Amino acid sequence: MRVLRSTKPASLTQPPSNLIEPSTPAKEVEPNTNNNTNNPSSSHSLRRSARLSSHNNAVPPTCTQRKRKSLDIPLQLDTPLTKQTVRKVKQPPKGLSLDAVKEPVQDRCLSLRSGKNLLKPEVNSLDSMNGKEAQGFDQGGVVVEDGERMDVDLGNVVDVDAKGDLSCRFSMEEKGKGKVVVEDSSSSDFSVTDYLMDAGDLFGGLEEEGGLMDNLIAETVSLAEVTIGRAGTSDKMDPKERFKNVAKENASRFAHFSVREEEEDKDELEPQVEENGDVEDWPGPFSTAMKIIKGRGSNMSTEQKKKSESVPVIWVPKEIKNDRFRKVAPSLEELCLEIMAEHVDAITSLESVPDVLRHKLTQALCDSRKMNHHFLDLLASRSPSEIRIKDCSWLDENQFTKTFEAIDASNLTVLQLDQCGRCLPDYVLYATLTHLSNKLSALTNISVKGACRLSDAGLNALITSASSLRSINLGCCSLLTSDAISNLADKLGPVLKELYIDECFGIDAKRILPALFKLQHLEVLSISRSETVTDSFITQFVAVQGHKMKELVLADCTKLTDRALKAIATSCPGLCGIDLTNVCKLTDASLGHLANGCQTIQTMKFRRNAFSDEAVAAYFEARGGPLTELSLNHVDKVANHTALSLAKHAKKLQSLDMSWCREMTNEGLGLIVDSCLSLKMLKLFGCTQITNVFTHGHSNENVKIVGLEESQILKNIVVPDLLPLRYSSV
Amino acid sequence: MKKEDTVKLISAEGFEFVIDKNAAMVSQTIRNMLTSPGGFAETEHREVTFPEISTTILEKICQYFYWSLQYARLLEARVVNLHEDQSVVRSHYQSISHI
Repeated sequence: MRVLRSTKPASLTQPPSNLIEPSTPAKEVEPNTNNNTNNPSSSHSLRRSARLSSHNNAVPPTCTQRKRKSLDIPLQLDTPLTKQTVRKVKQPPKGLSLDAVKEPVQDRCLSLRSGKNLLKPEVNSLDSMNGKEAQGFDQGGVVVEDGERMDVDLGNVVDVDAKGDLSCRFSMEEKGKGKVVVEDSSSSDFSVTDYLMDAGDLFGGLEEEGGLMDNLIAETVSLAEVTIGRAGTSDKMDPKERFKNVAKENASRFAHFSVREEEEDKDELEPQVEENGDVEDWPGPFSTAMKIIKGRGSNMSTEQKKKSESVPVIWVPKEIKNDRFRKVAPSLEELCLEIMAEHVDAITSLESVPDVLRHKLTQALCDSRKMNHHFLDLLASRSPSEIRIKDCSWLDENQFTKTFEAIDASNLTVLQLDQCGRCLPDYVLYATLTHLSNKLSALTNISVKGACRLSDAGLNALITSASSLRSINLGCCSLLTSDAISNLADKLGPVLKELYIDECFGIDAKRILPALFKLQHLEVLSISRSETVTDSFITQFVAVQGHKMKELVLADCTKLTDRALKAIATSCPGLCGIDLTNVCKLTDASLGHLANGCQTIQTMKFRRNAFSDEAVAAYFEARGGPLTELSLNHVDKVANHTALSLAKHAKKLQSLDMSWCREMTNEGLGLIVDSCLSLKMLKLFGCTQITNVFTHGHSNENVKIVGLEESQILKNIVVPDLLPLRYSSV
Repeated sequence: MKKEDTVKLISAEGFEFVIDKNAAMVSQTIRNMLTSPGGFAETEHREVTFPEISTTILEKICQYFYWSLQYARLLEARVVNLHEDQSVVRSHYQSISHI
């Protein structure tokens, strides 16, 4: 059985490791005693999500650790009360769960009836409940009862809570967020919260609701516990009555949900709880667009669902035609490049071959791993103007030194040495590129992405030598620190336009803020995958530099929230490109901000963002005109509304990625493809719902559909522009 | 071949290649030259001069034109003949991609 633990006064200590923590974001793990009596376990009350209770007789889930951490203060207030209620709860949760197990999964409410039933077979069922609970939890090995593992079907719990259908009957006072429960659970040392956090992580897309879920679950659990506790203590009361009372007391608490509970940095502003409906109410193009979208739904007949039925009526696929296959013959250029790539050693000179073809050939060689030193020498011979090698991993230090110490770099404007970690440590750099001062004076573009052995000193030397750089890519240079960036800003302040510092884990965003301010003409900033990029960083950065920014790449900066997007939208009117891949905390409000603030966004990349179909569609209604490249990869809810809006407004769209958008239909895609006549590339990886009806029935002959059947991946990787600078001339 | 079906391509050295009109139309440039209503001189005489393309290269280009036509015709034939099989093949691919 579970071990009861004494409740600690609001301390957020870890629960003992032998306790199973339910993976549901319950508030507290209540240690169950062996005896199935209502021991007033002074220890923490085990709270179980309603779902958990309903499904398992498992130990009430422990409190959400996550909640605990973020809700320190509010928790305190309710400690006494919760503790009391906690104590009363013991087996009850299990009791609750017993009945719940019998309930169908779809029944999300922890019904009174279920609770009641659970209570009855208390003694006998407790053991079985424990057992069931043990099986319930999937996560972690917290021993809930008797050291048995409890698996919680976390998904269900999440769903339940997210929908707010739980009719929790907690008697604990809460601040409306179940913090009390957390508080209580916080007193326990259970590490259930860990599980809950893990559970929360599982639902990346539901992160907003995660907090909500946590609350609800905690509340449910605590309610269950309380109820059971009461049942335990006063058997005279009819269980039904008890539950009813509890429900009455707690019903009002579930009227409001908090959107977010994560605690921000201490130096951040108080995390705003922005209601989702906010942005729609502000005057502006977004709200107009949202009204249009909602109007679509209301125009439809009542029996049709809001988002599903409008498109199929409009798009009719053509008959399957065969003339589509007529244009498949490869061009002469492709054929020649293939042959040259295959016999690269036979090439004796690249003289008078234009840069474009050189780059294509280099890329083909790198992709097929046939790149070698001989070709590098050819590229570097006779005063080249551009060298772009997207993969230098085959190159070693000696070869690099040999080639680049003799190079005539007087015309070299673009040097791309990606993945050069192996061949470019500091000493090689000193021996070659920086050997003569001002040797690289014509260099405007340099990319040493992946130069993992490059240190601050090496970078300084490089910059000293290449003093007119406009664009520098330092992605994945893990040895660089904020000092390097400061130095860079000092030297290149007046000229640098593009800065790419993706995945530089040694660079702290806050500390490079002053350096970034010194870059007077900065147009493109790419800081993806940085843990230190926070809302306050973005707010401060765009306040100073926003008016010139053309592109912001903030992929994988998971800490950003709607506040950052609001700042971006208000301060960056000229923004042309934004990349918000994996920034999961954003809500529809962000789209609203962007629509109201930025008028010229051409490149928009989303992935795994939790946007709703209507909001995405409203954005395109408002600002779909200039879009040329759009990625809605894994934005799951995208469906017919978006299709309609895109078809109507995104006339310049050239590249669209709707991989993993499983709500999209053949008709929706058909409408988009037939309406967006500039569309050249459509990616549909993971869209198993798309059939021949679309692929054979659409009438756009230029579009290339990638991802449905066997697709050649390498050939379809988008190569960034071969222009030196993305948004301005050198 | 009738004269109306042919086009003459002239290289830098002055060699003349007389090829089928369909073959020449593989190249968008030549197609535009020959079919545009703008009144190019080439439209009338069906002659196109390439002062910057050497003879050996132009010969290869003409070979490519014919090859491209054959390639497309071959695909078409294959499509027509194997139309029924295609659905089988496609479903096979789809099942594989599901994995």
